Amino acid sequence: MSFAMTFPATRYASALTVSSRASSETSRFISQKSEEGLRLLKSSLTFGCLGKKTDDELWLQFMECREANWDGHGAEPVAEETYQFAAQFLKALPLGAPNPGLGAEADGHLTMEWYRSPHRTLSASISPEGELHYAALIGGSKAYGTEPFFGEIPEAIMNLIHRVMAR
Amino acid sequence: MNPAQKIVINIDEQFPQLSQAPVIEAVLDIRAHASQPFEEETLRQALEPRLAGFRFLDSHREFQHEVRIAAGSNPEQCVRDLGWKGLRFQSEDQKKIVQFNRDGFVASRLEPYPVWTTFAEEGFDLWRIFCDIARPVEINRLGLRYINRIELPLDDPKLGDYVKHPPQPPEGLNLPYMGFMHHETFAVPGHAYAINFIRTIQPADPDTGRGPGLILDIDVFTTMGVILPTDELARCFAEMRWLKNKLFFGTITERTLENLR
Repeated sequence: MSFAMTFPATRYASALTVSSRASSETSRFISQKSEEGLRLLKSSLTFGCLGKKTDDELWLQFMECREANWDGHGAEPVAEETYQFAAQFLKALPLGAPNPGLGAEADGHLTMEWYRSPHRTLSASISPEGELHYAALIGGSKAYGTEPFFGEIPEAIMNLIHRVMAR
Repeated sequence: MNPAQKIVINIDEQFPQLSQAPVIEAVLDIRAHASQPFEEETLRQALEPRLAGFRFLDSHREFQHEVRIAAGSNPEQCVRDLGWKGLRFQSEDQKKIVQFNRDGFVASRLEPYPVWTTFAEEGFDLWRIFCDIARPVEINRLGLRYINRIELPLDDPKLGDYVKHPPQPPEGLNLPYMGFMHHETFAVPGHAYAINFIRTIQPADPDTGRGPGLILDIDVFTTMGVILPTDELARCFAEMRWLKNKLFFGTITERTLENLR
């Protein structure tokens, strides 16, 4: 008798898988071509954040919160780096993924929230150091943690987005 | 998708030796945040005496060009300085470039590509220097990327002569290609690796006199963070190299293989 070791089928994950960083002229040509293709898809209304204006919402959120005390209660400013990480995060979401609601926190982090009901919600905040702090409530289960962000959506967070937003 | 069987990686497998290897850049990319202060001036002072055969190339700042258009106002164009990222050094023969960044280390080897052991050992030596200075606590991502460029004739190249599964025009409408860009990402069942595989055509460059090239860009990377001693790192990269080789030799035709031998 023989046993075949099997693994669950892989779910299509991030729209943007980050490349290893190269230096040659040809590597720049490849980056440019990849970027063009992705931008084209994401600029449609059907797919992606650019078409759904989430990118502009993020920009407005950043502009509103980039000065200290933006909430009138002594909040930290949202740093340029934080905005850049959040913009990259939105760009890396798979095509057609549900877009998050956006916000800012008093510690200067930008937050993204996927909300389906009071018992199915995920909140992820990004720091200027590129750390993603997340907390989810899915029925009776809670999940939370921290993941570094390097341009791809961490698997743990992608799985939670699917679980929270599943119909 | 069907469940997939675990891939058995055999790092001892032998692959054909290519005297005309088409690698135009090989890259070791290790993403690991520095836990020690990592400032431009002190870093350069610390690195220069340790990098024999290399000279300072540039200080890497990141810029972003952006145009914003809002209803009722003029387009706003801005260049954002995203700050200092790290330093780059280049070997005296200009064939090797190494990056020491706040978020990790990259060693690139430009053509002509040496053998794997030379490339990997040189990369690991430089990685140890990065570790001594930056003292990273955890590795967040390993990447091994090979950008291959196969020269094509100027007039009407038949891609099927070069790769086994070339792009095909729609059935019943035999349109000629003006260009293509195929980007696939593969999982590696049973292992924390994934592979980005890009196939595209780089047009001829009249400035350099170089003809069009078929690009096969294979980037194997880890999908989760690791804490590793350097010998374990070497084993990971050997596994990633095996995956890269399987993809490359599984893609090119016999004819291409013969031309590269």
